[in-house]
Amino acid sequence: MHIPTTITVIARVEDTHHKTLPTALLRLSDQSTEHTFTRPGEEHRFTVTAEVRMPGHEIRLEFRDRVAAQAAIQVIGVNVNGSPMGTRIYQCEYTPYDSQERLGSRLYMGLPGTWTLRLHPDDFRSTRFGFA
Amino acid sequence: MDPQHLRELAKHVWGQDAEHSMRDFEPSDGLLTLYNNTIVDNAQALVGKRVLDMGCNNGLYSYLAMRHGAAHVVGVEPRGMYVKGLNAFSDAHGLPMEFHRGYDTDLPRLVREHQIDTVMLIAMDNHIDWEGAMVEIRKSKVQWLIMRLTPVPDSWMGYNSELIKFADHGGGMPVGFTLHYSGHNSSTLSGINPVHRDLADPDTGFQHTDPSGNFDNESSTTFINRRSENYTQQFIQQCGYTVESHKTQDSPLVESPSLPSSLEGFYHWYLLRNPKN
Repeated sequence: MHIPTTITVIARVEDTHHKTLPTALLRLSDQSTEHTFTRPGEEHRFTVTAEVRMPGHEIRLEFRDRVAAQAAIQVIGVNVNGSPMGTRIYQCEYTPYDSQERLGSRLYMGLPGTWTLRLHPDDFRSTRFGFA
Repeated sequence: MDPQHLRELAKHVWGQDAEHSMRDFEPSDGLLTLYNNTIVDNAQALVGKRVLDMGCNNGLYSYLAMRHGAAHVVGVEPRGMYVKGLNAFSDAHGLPMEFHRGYDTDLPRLVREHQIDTVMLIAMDNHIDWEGAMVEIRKSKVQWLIMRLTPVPDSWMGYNSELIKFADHGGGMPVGFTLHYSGHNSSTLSGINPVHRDLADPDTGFQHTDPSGNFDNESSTTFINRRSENYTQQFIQQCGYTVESHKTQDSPLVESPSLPSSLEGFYHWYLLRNPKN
């Protein structure tokens, strides 16, 4: 089953003047969008629309560059079709590029790496989005 | 029910992110059944009436009541994102609807202030003290009460295979006329659950345990009582309402990945008249 889905990931970059501000990519299925942060503490909404296969698809936010001295990125929230996912975002996994250690329930990416969250059919249930 | 109107409503409630997903929206058979039993068949309690939709959620039934001739609709919902979006939708189209952020405990005041003729309690038995609300409505000048409830079958009050299957999913065990169950509350319903509503985000309803938004799932519990069909019917009778109509859903409407579908879809609809008015 393929579901037309718009995902928005709200992320904030570290408020520091001592590190390079990163470029991050949001990937969903075969679609992606990227943003280069331009000021410390900036909050950005990454939005992607794709046909998502259920179950199994994941949301993936990643640093474009692997250089370590980049400001951290913290995920603030995820919206599915405009409906906030809320605390479900803690069922995520953060993997720094260097260590490749898979860290569960981390919203703060202190080092360049990837942040992933697997979509679940419950994310589309009527209590969150749509009329049913 | 005009799908184009609902697509427009969705855009206000969920924003531009809803546009793609709603582009091909058409009402399902299940939704049309709910619509018929909740709105169409209760026209006598809606046409020309001032209606209060307690716990209006995304405003679907408020909107449908208005489209079916309600003179004015007041929707009440704890989750601010719905209230803001619905007021924007109503204002944009000049509709006789208004929405307020509030709780079930506001019901007596709202009924007085808005001179309400008809109250809708749709699927509120999971979330609020609906028996207390029924008593308040019975004492008021309200003429009609439209309810959709999900009582559990009387057979579930005893041990049988159906109940054990439900309990295996973490659903709880029966005590007398009610089925008690608890679980972790990590959905927008935290904003409705009286145990946690003071801690819930006023916009989304999600419960956050500290100002930075860190969440402690272990301490975010929910506790729900589900009443039996027999209890529900006896309570309505004891309240002194006149039952104008009572319909039951004889097959599940909603498939749930985590619970037996009969629990999710086993709806009862009541149209009750307040003989006081």
